[in-house]
Amino acid sequence: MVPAIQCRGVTRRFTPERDVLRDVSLEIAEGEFVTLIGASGCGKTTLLRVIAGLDDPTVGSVRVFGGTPAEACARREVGVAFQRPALVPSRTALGNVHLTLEVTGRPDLAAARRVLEEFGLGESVDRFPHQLSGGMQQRVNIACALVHTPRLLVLDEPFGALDELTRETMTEWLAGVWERTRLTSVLVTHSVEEAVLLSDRVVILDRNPGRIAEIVPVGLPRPRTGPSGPVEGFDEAVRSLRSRLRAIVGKGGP
Amino acid sequence: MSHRRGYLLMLLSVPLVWILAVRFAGLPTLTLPPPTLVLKVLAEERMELLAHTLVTVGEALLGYFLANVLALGLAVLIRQARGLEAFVTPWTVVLKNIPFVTIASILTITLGDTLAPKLIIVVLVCFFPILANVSKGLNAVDPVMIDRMRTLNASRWDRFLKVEWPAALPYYMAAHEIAFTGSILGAIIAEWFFARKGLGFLIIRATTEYRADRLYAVTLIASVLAVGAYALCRAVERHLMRRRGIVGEG
Repeated sequence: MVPAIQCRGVTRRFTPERDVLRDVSLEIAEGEFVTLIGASGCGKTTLLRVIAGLDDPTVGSVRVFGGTPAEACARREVGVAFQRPALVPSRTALGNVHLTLEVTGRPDLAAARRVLEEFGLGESVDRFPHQLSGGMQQRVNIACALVHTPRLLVLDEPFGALDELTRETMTEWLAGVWERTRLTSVLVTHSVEEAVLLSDRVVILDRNPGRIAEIVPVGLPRPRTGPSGPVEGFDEAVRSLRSRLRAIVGKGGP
Repeated sequence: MSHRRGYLLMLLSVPLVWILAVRFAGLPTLTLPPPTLVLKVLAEERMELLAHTLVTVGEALLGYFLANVLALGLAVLIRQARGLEAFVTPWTVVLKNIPFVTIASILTITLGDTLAPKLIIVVLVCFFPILANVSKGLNAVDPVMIDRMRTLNASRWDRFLKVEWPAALPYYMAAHEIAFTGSILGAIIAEWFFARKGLGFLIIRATTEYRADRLYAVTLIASVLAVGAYALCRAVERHLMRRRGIVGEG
């Protein structure tokens, strides 16, 4: 079976002396949730941008659903959400979600409203971004990324700017969204808990140059949290991933 | 004190200060006419003043419209074709910094008493604030918005209309506060040099005839026009802000 995403020998060079990524090969199956984690400067965001078609590899190739990332974007198969919500300040929450549908040639206000209601934002459809809390803005941001039913969801530290408590709530919320959609997803994060809660596999990247150090499968059953807290083995999985991460990142110094 | 009260106080203070100045400065009426005399001129010569005011307003509006078309067009063009900026910038820097009264003199010699030189002066006054602000606004788009549009394979037109233009709109509105009021100023200055109609022409005529009462009457009209233009800009800006859910001050 052809993987949903296929990176082969991807190198991204910003200057002749510095490879941000070197020889990265990675395959992601359709419906799989993969998290990229590593120290700052290890190239995880660069890899994410290459997958999303926002940057080109200097060497190597990337295939997304059998074509180039640009072709996947042209087929409107990619949805992205960044740490800073990509919202137009002069549009309401509904207007922002609808913007995706306008641009993709499928204007449908009812569909945009439905997604916001599903995301628990039914009361806030007419609010402008500055009238929403950080967590709500990020939910609208992810609604914008999902409303056109893409096949690939790309998330770059979507909860990185939120406070600890909101971040936890939002991670659990995202896990619920993913359970319902089962979209092929690639997430960049610094949070080990977030990675364990959401991922099927966690890719640990090393830096100087950025390359895959280890791929850690997360074998925990889903859903991984409930009213009584996380599933059995969650804490152990977090501890284990953290120690592997420390071992890899620690090698290269702070 | 609220902004509204501040403006009200200023409006009441102007005639009061004027009356006090007339009373205590000891200047002859020929030099410093009292408000009553100026009001008399405004009433008695209202038709002539109105005719000249309409000429100035017409020139200002036409020049302002042309400046908008040219500045917006160029700002959009520069945004779409990045290489153009390097070519255009030296021209705008030089043109912007030439004192436009000298340009006005050149235009007088070249084009004489026609509408063209007046429009050129008004355009020069209005063009640069609009160009500078709109260019700044178009460049102020959050890069994550552009990335979002790219992954959605948005057309250039969609990107401009739905993302770049909304980002530039507050900057464009701010430019009008300078450009719209500047259009009145530009038209009056242009009329100083080459006109037989308009408020600028009236100012020159009143000066040469030592008619301080008329000079003050024209000053009042010009001030009302400029402040009215500014107030209109602010009102439109506030309306747009309210539509965006931002409660403006004052």
